[in-house]
Amino acid sequence: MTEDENRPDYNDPETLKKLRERQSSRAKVMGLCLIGLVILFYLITVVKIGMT
Amino acid sequence: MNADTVTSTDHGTGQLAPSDYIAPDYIAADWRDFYALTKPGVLKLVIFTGICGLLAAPGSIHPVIAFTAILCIALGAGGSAALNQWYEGEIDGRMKRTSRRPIPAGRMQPQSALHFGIGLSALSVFIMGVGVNWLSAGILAVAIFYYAVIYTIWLKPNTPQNIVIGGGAGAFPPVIGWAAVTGDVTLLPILLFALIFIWTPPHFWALAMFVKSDYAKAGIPMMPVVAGEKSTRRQIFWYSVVLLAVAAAPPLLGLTGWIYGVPAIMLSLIFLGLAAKVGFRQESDPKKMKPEKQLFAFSIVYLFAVFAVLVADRLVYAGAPA
Repeated sequence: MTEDENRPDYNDPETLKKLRERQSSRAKVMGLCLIGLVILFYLITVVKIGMT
Repeated sequence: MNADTVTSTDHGTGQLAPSDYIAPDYIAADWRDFYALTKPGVLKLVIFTGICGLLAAPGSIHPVIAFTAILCIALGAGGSAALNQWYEGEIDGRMKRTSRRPIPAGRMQPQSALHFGIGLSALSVFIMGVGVNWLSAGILAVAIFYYAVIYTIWLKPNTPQNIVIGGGAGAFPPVIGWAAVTGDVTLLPILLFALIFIWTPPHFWALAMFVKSDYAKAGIPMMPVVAGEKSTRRQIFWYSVVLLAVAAAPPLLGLTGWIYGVPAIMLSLIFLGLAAKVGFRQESDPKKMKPEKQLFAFSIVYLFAVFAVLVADRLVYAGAPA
């Protein structure tokens, strides 16, 4: 098996579809994580202000 | 992605890179592979002991800050696990138990794991410092460095004492949880650290006894591979004796009550009994390692149970009138 045989063929519609699906799901998870972080920082700020 | 990129994960040691290995190429890794990099199974124990340290500490903590502290412990542990898998990608591919992980299975580029691990680790320390306190953030940073660098890169490939010293990495969470509440570290969290530290070698060596061939194949100098079974069995027993002493120390020193003391000593005696069965037998056939498997399974229950009774004890005595 050579390196070239290993490389995914991005001209292949199936491979491209798979790539896009993964990119999309990763983007969604990353978006959710960022929203979670924003909420967390907001809550921490509120609590810290309350403490002082 | 080519073969050189993957074989570079042996970091120039030259002993593990197979010359005929051609890495698979990668489509963008799935988010589940990133999740798998954090070793979710190990995270459960880390989170649990972190929560126990937090609950056992005197004083109070706002639920949001407590949640932040536990989240940061989990993120830090996940980040260091990702760094561990980045470094050990090639070694993992040689062991049946770890060959399905994202990097050896060819589902992720090692570089992605490296970036993910560094990012997660840095984020966890930063949030812990800003949101909780900088002492717990500092201990978290030390724990990450201890696991990712001292254990993974330095100790594990070089010495059969890897688990003995490396066990310290997993012993930090209750100390971090404690420091998140109190802002300091006293004798009890140090004893909790010692408990996990001493528990780790018999726990891990029991596993290493029945997966010995896997470690030998990967070139990892685990105690049963290097020092032999007899020596490892004796050490499992003696570490279990020390474990009993460490587990019994908090009530004897007046740091906890007997709600913790009685069950902890009983559980430690059962642990010692199982370790004695392992320690004084001679069996090298992995198929006949029932006592070793029993000890490994019980050791996990043991740690959960000891920390659970510690929290129960501390909550009962915290609520009791002075």
